[in-house]
Amino acid sequence: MFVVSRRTPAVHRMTLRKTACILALALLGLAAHPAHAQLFGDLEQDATGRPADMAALGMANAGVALIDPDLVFSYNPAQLGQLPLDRLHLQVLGLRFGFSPDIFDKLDFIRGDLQDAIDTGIENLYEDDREGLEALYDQARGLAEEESVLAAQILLPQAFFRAGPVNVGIGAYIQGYSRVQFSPDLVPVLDAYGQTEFILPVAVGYRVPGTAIDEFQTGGLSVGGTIRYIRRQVTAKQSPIDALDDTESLYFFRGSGLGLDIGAHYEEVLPNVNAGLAIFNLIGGGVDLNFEGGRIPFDDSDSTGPFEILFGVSEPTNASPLSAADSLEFQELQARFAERSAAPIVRLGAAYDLDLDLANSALSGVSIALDYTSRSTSEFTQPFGAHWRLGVGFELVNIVHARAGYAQGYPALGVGIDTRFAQFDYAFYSVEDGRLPGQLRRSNHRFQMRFGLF
Amino acid sequence: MLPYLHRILVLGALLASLPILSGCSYDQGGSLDEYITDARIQRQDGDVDAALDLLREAIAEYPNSEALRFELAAALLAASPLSVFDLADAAEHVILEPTRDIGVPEDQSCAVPNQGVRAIEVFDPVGFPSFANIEASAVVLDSIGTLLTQTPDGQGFSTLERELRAVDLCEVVDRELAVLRPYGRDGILEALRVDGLTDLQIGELLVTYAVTQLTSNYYELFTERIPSLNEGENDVVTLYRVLENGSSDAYISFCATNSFAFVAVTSTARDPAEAFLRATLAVELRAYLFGYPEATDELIVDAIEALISIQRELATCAE
Repeated sequence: MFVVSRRTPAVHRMTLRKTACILALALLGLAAHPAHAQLFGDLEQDATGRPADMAALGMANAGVALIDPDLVFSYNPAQLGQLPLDRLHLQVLGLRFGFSPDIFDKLDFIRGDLQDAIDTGIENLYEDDREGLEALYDQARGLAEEESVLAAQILLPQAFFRAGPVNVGIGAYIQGYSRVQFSPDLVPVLDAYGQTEFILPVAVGYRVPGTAIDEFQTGGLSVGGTIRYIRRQVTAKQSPIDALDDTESLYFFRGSGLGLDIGAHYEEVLPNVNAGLAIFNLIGGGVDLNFEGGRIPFDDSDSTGPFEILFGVSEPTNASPLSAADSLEFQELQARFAERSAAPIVRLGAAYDLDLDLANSALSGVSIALDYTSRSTSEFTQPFGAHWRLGVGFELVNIVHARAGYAQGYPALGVGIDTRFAQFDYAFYSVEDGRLPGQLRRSNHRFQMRFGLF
Repeated sequence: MLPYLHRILVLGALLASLPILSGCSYDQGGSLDEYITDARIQRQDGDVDAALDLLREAIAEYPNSEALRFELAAALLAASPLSVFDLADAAEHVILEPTRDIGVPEDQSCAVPNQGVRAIEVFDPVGFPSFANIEASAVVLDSIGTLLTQTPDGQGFSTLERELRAVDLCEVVDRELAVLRPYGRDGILEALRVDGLTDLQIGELLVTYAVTQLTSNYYELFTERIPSLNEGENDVVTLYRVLENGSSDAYISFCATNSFAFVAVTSTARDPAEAFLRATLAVELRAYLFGYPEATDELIVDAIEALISIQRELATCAE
């Protein structure tokens, strides 16, 4: 649950000049997104190491200016300074599961017909069952339309508490996801990627004295920072289908890194309006993935075959020398990972509390958030309009929250049930995998449940 | 009313921002890279026609881009009924063994020897399922061929074509072993990488080139060039499948009713036969690029054997 502002007398000492300073600071931090020639995959998204929040996802991923402990690690560490934290906020455990609508068709194809073809030998199909092989290619091309994602996340204990003059947040996540895509080429290319990572963020938030908006010392400016440790492992496969055979291997990469994010948040910068700014990867933030010599046989009978691609969880079982073809493929993958950028990402935005005050209505607490993020959601430089996120969240009845949003030409929806000890959330949202809004949509469903003291 | 004014202003601003958020105002294309990216995305999205429209628009703006010409060629092929299996079918049709022996015609001049022939029958160039696809694609194959092999002004060759033409065609085929001798594969691939193509894109280019060149030159050779020698009511030139005693390799041969036509066959067949070889090189080069996966073995062997079958007597190299 989030709030735009605590209901306090509207005393606004923030001047327009301060607002302008924040905006200027934000614009100075805007980093141009590099152009990429690679079509497959969505490498920048894989590299962020920041789990998205369910409420924000339902609001088309807007949230830098809201105030919510769940947004601290991934949206704006300065929100932490605005939290009253008059009691411990504790998450004991949570689970999240997500998928793109057509991921299961692709997985069925990989585990079924494609694995059968690899087992039979595609060269044998060429000789004995040409129609079957042609159908296999057609099937792969038919699945080329959308990149698909399967995601799972374990939300480990997370706590927010007060420590002297600052608020502190610490949490941990284990998240894994897999991306699968086929190309529409004459000989279709399988492009699969699995990633598992352990993320340990520690955040500190501090409310700047003398900026409070009233005599109750509420609102005003807060600043914050997050140091994040990421341990990541990856498996990948990128190959034309006719080059897949029973000696195929998955290549195994592993790495770790530290990153620093900073943020600023101003509550009641205008009547009922908050402003937020965050700069991610100000220092570090990248993970230098290294090939550790390990490989996983594609058809390992001890494993579930191509499922080893998913989540990148397997330990390599084969460390035999690389063939020339293996080396070529591995080098291409490494070059692809090296393209990932740890350049600073700027997110700034505003949130507005509509303050409907409808005494006899179930609808209350309507908040509107608008974010701009410098990060592209695809491997291409995206135009200005693709970087905006507009969301609205409101309380339907007591513990039930509804969310909606619009970004990149696509709507988003979400709903959450918040109780003192348990929270359940669902979000449906879309991400632009192409260059322009509305070009290549990837839809996602996400479910989450978590338990603790909220 | 005044307290509500800021709410109205905020809501108005948000409504005004919706057109920006929707991205409706963004045109596809622009720079060369953007055209290529957007066209690839359109194909990925299953809309080949939109990709073709975009690429044609781009060609008008950037007529000298080889990368753009390759993309357009690949999109045209994707929109046609042709596939890599049509290449395989055409190659296999060429090397089929004759199933009967009608005897070597005695009233004609024949390339095939009179003695020692185990089986011979008339070669029917259209008698295989994929021919319908090839025939239906004849016009677009011409366009693709031009895009893949020539410079925009038609005065020079594309990088790939130039590199393949630098290979000594008669030196590269080892007829005894039915394999290709080394021909500077790495140099050709390097030349293509210099053009900014990734290995996956090079692979796509090579298979597009191979399918297009092999099928279009098959069509040109057997349904246009050879038949053009038969202008009268009776055929002057007839093609045969031949299998000699002691050999397991069938080949295409011919007989002619006059010496002029006999000589004309080889000169008529030379260009398509050479293009056939370059297509075979492209098939083999793609396999080399991906480490010779087993699945490509049969296709390479079929293409090389088909090449030898055609080259043997229709377009001979000096031994």
